[in-house]
Amino acid sequence: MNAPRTLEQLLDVVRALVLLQGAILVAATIEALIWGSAFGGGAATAVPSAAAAAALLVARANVGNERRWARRVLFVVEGALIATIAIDGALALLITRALPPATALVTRLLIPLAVIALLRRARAAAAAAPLAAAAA
Amino acid sequence: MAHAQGAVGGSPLYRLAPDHAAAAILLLLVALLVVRLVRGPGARSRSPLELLLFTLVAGSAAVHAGLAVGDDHGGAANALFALDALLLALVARRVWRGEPVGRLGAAVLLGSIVAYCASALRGDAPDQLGLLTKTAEILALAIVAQRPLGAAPRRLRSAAVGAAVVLLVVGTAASAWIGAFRASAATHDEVAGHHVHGGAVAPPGTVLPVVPERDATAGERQAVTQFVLTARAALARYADPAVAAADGYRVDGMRGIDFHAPNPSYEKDGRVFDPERPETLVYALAPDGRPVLMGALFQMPELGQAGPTIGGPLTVWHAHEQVCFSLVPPALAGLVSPFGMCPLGSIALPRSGEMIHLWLVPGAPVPFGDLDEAWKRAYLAKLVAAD
Repeated sequence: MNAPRTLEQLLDVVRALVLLQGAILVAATIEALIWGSAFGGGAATAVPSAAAAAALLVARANVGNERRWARRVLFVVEGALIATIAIDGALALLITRALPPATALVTRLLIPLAVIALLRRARAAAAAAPLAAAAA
Repeated sequence: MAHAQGAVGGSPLYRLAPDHAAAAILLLLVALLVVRLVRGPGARSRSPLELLLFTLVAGSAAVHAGLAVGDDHGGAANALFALDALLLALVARRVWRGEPVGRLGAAVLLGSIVAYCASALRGDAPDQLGLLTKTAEILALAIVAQRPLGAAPRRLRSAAVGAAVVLLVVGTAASAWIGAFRASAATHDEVAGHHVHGGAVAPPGTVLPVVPERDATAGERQAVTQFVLTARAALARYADPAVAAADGYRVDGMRGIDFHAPNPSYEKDGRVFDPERPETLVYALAPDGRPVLMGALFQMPELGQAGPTIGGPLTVWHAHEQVCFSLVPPALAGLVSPFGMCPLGSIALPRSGEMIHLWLVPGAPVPFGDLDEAWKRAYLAKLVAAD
C-alpha cells in the first residue's frame, strides 16, 4: 500500500470520528443551554462545549490539507476530553467503585485515543510519503 | 431496542438493561470474531475505513440478533430486530467483500436509528447498549455517506454529511432524554413515595431504593404526622427568606417554583433528619413574585448512608447520580448526556448522598417525596387569587 494512499485512508477515519465527536459536542452544548436555563446557571457552562464542537468541525474540514493547526486543535480537544474522563473515572471508582457509563468511555476515552493514535500514524505516513515518491 | 424497564435503582439511561444481556454477550462474541478477522490475511487488502465500517455494522447486527432472541417486547418487535440484524449483516458482508454499500447501507442504518428514536419517543427507556449501538450506527452512516469508498471527497457533500450527522446525534440524544423521562413518568405515581416496587423506572439522574410493597403501619403514620407537625411549627419562621438568610440559608437569586436554598453549616452538623434543622429549604416564586416556603430537603451527611425511614413506605429517600458540576463558573450543569458527555469544563459526580423532600404547604398530596409540578402551580395560583 503506498504512503499517500495510506495517509488519506487514515485521515478518512479521523474525519469520521471527529465528525461524530463534533456532533456529540453540539448536542452537549444544546443540553448545557437547556440545563443552564433550568438551574439558573445561564449559558456560561455551554461555552466550552460550543467552542470545542466548532473547533472539531472546523479541524475536520482542514485536517487533510497539510495544516498543522488543525492537528494541534484536534490534539488539544482530544486531550481535554481524555482529561475530563480521567477525573470522572477516578471519581466514579472512588465513590461508587464502578466505571463511568459505557458511552462516556467510548466517546471521551476510546474515540479520543483513537484519533490521537491515527493522527500520529498519519504524521508518520506523511513523513514517509516523499521517500516513497522518490523511491518510485 | 430502547425498551428497558429497569428495576428501581438508577435510570436505565446509564446502565445495561437486564433483558439486553443476551445482546451484550453476542456483541462481545462478535467483537472477538471481528478482532480475529481484522488481524487475519483477509484484512490486508481492506482500508482502515472499511475495517472500521465492517466492525461497526457487524457489531450492530450482533446486538440486533441478540435482541431478537433475548428481548421481551413481543413477537412483532423481535421480528423487526431479526430483520434489522439480517439487513445489517448483509451490509457488513458487502463491506467485507469490498462491494459498494451506498444506498442500501445508508437506508438500513438510517432506518435502524429512526426506529430507535421512534421507540424512545413512545416512552421506552433507552439503555447503554442501545445508545452504544446507535453511536456505532451513526458513525457507520457518517462513513457510508461521507463518500463512496474510494471516491474523492467533495466539500459540499462533506458539509451536508456533517449537518446530517449533527442532526442525527441531536435527534437521538433528544429522543433518549424524552424516552428516559417518559418511562419514569409512566410510573411516577408509584415512585412518589407510596408504592415503590421493582417495576418502577427511575428518572435520569435519580436513584430510588427498593421499598417493600406494603402500606404504612399505624405507628409509621403516627411518626410521620408527628414529624410533619414539628417541622411545620419549627420552620414557619422561614416563610420570610430574610430570616432563613440570617440562619445561613442561601436564598440569593431565588427563581422558579423549585428553588433550593442550602445551608452548608447544617450539612455536617451531626444532626440527621432533624425537623428543626433541614439542610435545605425549598421555595417557589408565586405568579405575583412573592416567595413561598414550600418545603424542606433533608440530606444524609455521608455517601452510601441510608436515611431513616420513620414512615416505612411513606418516607422513601432518594439519591442523585451522574450529575454534571461545572467548575468555572461553579454551578450545577445538568446530567450526563445519553452519549456520556457533561458540558466540557465540568465533572460528573457519580452519586450523591441520600435525601428526602418534606412538603410543608397545607393540602400537599404527599408529605414526603416528589410533589407534582402541576399541583405546585395550582397551589401558587390559588394563593395569589386568595389575596
